[in-house]
Amino acid sequence: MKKSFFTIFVSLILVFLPVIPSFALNGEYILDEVNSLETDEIDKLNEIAGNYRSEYRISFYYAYLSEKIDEFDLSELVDEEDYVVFLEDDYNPLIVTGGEADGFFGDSEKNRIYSVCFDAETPFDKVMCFFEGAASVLANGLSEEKNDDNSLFPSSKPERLYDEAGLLSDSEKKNILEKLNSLSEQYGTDFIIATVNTLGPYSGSDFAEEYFDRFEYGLGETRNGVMLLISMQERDYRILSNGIVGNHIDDDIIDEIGDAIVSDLSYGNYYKAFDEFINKSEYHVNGAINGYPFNYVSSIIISILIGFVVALFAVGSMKSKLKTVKPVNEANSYLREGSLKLSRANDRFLYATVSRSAKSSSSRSSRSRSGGGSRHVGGGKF
Amino acid sequence: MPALQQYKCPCCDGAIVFDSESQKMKCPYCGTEFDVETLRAYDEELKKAGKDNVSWNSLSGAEWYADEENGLRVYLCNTCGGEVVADENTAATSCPFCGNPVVMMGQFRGELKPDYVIPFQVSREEAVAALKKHYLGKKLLPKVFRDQNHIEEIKGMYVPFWLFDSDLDANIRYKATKMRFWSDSSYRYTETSFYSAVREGQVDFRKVPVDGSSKIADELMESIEPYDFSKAVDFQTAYLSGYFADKYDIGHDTCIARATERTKKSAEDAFMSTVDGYSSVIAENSSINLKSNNVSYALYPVWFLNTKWNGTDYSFAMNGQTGKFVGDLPLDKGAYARWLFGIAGAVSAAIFAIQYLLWLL
Repeated sequence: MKKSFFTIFVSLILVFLPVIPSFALNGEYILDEVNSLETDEIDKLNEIAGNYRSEYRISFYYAYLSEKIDEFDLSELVDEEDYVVFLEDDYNPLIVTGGEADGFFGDSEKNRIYSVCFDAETPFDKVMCFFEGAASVLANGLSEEKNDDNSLFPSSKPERLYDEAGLLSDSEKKNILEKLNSLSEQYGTDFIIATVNTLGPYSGSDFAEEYFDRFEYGLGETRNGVMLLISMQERDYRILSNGIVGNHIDDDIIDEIGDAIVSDLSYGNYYKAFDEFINKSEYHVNGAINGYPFNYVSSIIISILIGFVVALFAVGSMKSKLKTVKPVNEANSYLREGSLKLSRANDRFLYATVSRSAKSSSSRSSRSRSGGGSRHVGGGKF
Repeated sequence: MPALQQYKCPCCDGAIVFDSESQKMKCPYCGTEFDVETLRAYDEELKKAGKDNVSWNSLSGAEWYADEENGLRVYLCNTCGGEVVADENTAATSCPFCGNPVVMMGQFRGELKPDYVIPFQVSREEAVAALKKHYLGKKLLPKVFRDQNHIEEIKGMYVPFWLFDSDLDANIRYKATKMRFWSDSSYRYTETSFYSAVREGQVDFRKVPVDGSSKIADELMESIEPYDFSKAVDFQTAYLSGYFADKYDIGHDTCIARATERTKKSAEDAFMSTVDGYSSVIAENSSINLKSNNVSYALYPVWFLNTKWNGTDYSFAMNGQTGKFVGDLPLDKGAYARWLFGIAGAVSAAIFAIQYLLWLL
């Protein structure tokens, strides 16, 4: 009895012998509990993971589990702080990240990797796909971080005209800059025009605010300023007003200025558009600081037009009193009261048509700032 | 020579006339008033007298025929024996010699007898006052016209009207639309729904008047409408005494076209007003049948006033029942320009001042 028990025990061990080593790690980064990968493939993957580790300082792990993922203890596999792990059981894949890697892998990145890699032909291809996908996510994320700081914005505070997109000739630049500088001095308000190639990850309004704030534009305590921002890649224009002039130049006036320049921007007449922006914004900045001048010409024209329209109506009604003889084409006074009887009244719906017209596509954002000023940003596509 | 009728006062034998104020027959000489009802009997008497005259008339028939070719008729005044020469349609007038009112009885015989008459309700004095009032409040009327104005002629006249009673059967199809508006974040939408609305039914018109005299402009007569038929009475020649009157010279079969036109328009309007709740309604197809058409003949009272200015005649008409007064007046072009520029200047100055004040605030 004792012997037979021993025999069973040994044979059980013999049966499980080839399986037991597979519970151990296959190299540093791979755990293949179901033997889906060849040995040379495992070596290759370990080597690649090692390369990625030295490149991104993040460890890539892969595990195919014989148990369910929920029952798996991650510390069996991972011994680093910054990691990305691809787990698979017979049912689902799962990506788990830790440390530095957390910031790069959102749900959208994970889902993209799942959907691209799940249909891979061989297990090896699948793991390669996981690794390459993760590496590209890291590469993109790092480059964005880099761009954010260095290439989107100029490195130091530029002049009041900054033409990164190169829309103006040298003489045009000189003209515009002179105007911007002299108006800025005259009104104690920064007049700024900036053209950039791209907004990067920013929205137009955010970029304009970031640009304005990063270089601490705006004169005086309330940081008075108006700014026009053009981004060529998104074909987006933004107008920002800040401080005391921001109290006055609200969304409506920004829309008005935008309407005046958007067609010139669309047709590529940038110099003309910038000039128009300067004129319009000077008019409103002056209005905000000194009050608008009285416009005699337009007031007189409007007065005379209204005067004549009213007079024509009045004199017309006087004239019509002279003519009292006119034919009467109806016989309403002879309709026998109560004689109108409907024997059939029937309204039938035939058809309907729907027409639509686009609203203007401008977007706005505004907020109040402490210290008596406020900020408005608005604009749209050109 | 056809018969003339004069109403003599039983007291003083003066010629009596119809008085619009008291709505009675009144002798202008002795002031005696007679109730209109008593004239029915009086009328009967006169008709008998008329019969007696037939043989007498035929005696001097030759003279009458000669004048008839010119569209004129000659009557003998019962009071003074003077010749009254009148238009062939004239039914009541006054003797040019003694001024007494006369009524041509022959114009009301047989088919020519009117069914109804609306007696005058407003007097000659009221008509003259109405003309003065007509000039008031008309700032573009030449001042000279008002100041130099004198009435050339004023006469109270019974104008012949055909009255049409029509019952209309209508079947009208309308195209109607409803509009609905809404918008989302990027578009504004307009939905137009089209409906076909059918209205079938009937509507009646009573006593639609059409001027039966070719001498009097239809437009002028329509302008002084409406007449209130409930005040009409059965025709008696006595009402005509003291006024002018014409018999019709356009038949009712000619006049019916105008009455039909007007009733159809009113019927269409009345049915259209039952198609409600839509943004627009247009009649697409309308078939209107006149079911019955009773015609009656009536005399309606009109005051005619004529004035002359700068060689042009201006005629006015007043509804002898309601006092509604119409008549086109000349335009003072100088006044027109002065008012136009005056008002324009004043309004412009005011608007300019408002703009300046708003800017100051």
